[in-house]
Amino acid sequence: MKKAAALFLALVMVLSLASFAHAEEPVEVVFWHSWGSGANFEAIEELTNAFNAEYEGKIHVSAQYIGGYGDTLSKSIVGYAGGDNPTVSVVDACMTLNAAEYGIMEDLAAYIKANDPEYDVGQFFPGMMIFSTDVEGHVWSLPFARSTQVMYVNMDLIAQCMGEAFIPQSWDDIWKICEAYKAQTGEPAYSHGDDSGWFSFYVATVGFGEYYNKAGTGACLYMNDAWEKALTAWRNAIEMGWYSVPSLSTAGPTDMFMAGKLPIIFASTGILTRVLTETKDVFNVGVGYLPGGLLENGSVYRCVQTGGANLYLANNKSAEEQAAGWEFLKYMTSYDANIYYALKTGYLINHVGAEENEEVLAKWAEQPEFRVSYDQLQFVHETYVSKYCSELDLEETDVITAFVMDGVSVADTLAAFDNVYTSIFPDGVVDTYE
Amino acid sequence: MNPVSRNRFWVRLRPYVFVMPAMIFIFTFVLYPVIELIMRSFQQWNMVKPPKWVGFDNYAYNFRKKEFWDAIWHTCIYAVSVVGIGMTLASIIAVWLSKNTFINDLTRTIMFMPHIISLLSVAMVWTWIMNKDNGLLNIVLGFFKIPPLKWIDSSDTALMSIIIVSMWKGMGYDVLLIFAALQTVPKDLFEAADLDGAGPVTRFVKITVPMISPQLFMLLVTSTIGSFKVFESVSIMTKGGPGTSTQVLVYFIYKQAFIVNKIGLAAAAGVVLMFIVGITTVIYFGVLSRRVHYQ
Repeated sequence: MKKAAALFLALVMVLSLASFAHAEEPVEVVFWHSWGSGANFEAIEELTNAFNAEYEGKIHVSAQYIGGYGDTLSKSIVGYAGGDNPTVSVVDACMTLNAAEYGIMEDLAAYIKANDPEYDVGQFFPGMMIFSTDVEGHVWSLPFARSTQVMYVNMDLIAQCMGEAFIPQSWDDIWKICEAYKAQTGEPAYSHGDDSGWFSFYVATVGFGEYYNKAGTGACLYMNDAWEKALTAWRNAIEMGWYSVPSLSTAGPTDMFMAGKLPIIFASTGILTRVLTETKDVFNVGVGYLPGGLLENGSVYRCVQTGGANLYLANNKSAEEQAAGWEFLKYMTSYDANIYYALKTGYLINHVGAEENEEVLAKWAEQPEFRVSYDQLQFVHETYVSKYCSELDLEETDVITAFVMDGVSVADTLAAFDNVYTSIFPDGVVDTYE
Repeated sequence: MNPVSRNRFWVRLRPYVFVMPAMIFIFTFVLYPVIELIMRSFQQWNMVKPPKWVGFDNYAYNFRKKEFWDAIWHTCIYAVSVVGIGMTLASIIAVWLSKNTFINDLTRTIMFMPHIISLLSVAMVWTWIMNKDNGLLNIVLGFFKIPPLKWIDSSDTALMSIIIVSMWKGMGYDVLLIFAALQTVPKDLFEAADLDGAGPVTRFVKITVPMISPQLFMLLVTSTIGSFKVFESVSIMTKGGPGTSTQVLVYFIYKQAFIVNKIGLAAAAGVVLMFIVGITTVIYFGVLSRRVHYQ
């Protein structure tokens, strides 16, 4: 009897110790992101460390750089079945609805309702939630490192070829600079990526047209000849030697700009800190809105889109891990974290009222370049939203690359687009935006 | 069961027991993946949601796509070029370097070096050599007053560029294998041919090629299979571009499987690839193996 009692007591002690030890173990949260170096990486590390310090003993986040947005999503899907996916991860904001189709994301609307009813999704700019929310009201991700494209200008090179330094406002300004710079140096004057996102920008600001329809189920390929005008303008810029064609064997536009070999690039606001740091004391940089189309009344029609990364919570983790992951996701997307991240890197502020924050206003006063992307948000018109976008993006980019690098004709490019949309979109090619 | 019948039973069973481990291994690691691949090709699956049976839809979808046929065409061009030109050049070089002199030994060693360098490094170096603006190849072309080429930056030359890199990397291995085979050809055959007044071409065609035909046949089969599965050089150097001009079948499979996560489409393309490789191998064994001269 004594022996049994002793055994029972020992067992109780062991179990108590085990549960005590268990209680001391912080919940491990794996966070996958897409920034391997520079100010963006440092900001991620600092925010994660601050979170770990605040939640010491309760939650520990391990932030891991995985690769670009596409790689990160692919690896999450591959690891999902075995539970080797992260609890929290970045996702390309524009691809959120597409990624949600895979079924790896927690519906945050339902999660918040059940677990954190005080949380207010309305704290974000409504435009930042377009990519995250579907028609049924599910919320699949929250805005984190959101960006928009801006124009970076080497003011010294502009002054050299135009007689004065200025930031071009319209495509007409760009063409004039291109003409002068080409005549003076024989080199192209501007560049940007050769993906479909950039083409949609041409369609909007050169062709004054729409890209996908509002529902994201069809392409406005032949509406008002906007696509044809956009392709023709781009082709003209290539043939005149104004546009620096991205190459598989040479440095990309950003590196060429940093090296002082290209006067103008259009690139993400997320590289703002890098641009300002690396060109400091080398040449003067101007940051401006993307060029717009000049209307007959002399005003400039602008149209920009947002991109960047959102954060999502995986739906295959234990309740405890999900709760810890949710705390981290909330922290990273909070008002304070957003301001810290935006001011450190150049990414957008995305919280209502952040534009009136003292720290933000002080930074904008000191470095007005950081304000440009926010001000440009007034021209946002997301014409590139579709749940089919990951598949479309691949095929459209193939068409655009062939157009840009191989000189495929405008007519053949339109026909190739037609093939892509007919085979992927349920509505194929449409003749109305609504 | 009496001891005699038990013994007979064991004698009949014994071979099966002995081959059982090998059969289990083959079934698990060879047959099962193939069966799984074929099964997946009839399903719609994104690796997360439960698979859905769709019959031949994946095949129909792929066959309707121009991109898929282009990928097959590019793969065939690549395979024919790398195997055909590569083996011919390797044979000529191996015969040329077949005498055991110091210079020949050194040349063979240097030629073998690309084979031991990782393809990633090779592709990066060649990307620089093929730079359209100031790459080494265009400088050399300029020296001979030939206009520069865009190499991997144009769909007209991108596939050719990848073929050149692949041949350059694989040449040393092919040369070494053919050189080793050449060493086994009895010298007295050449002496007899000399006495009969045979020239160098006749000696090569009538003696050398038949005598090294087993090694050539092995090289042909393995190179062809390897060429149909080309992926790394395309992925590193061009990512299938410009446009889809260097998209080969395995890159197409990779895109479907790991970028858009359509496993069914990728599996269907994989089955087609397996079929093409299988048919080619059967043709090789059916047609060419009869001409192989085993001593």
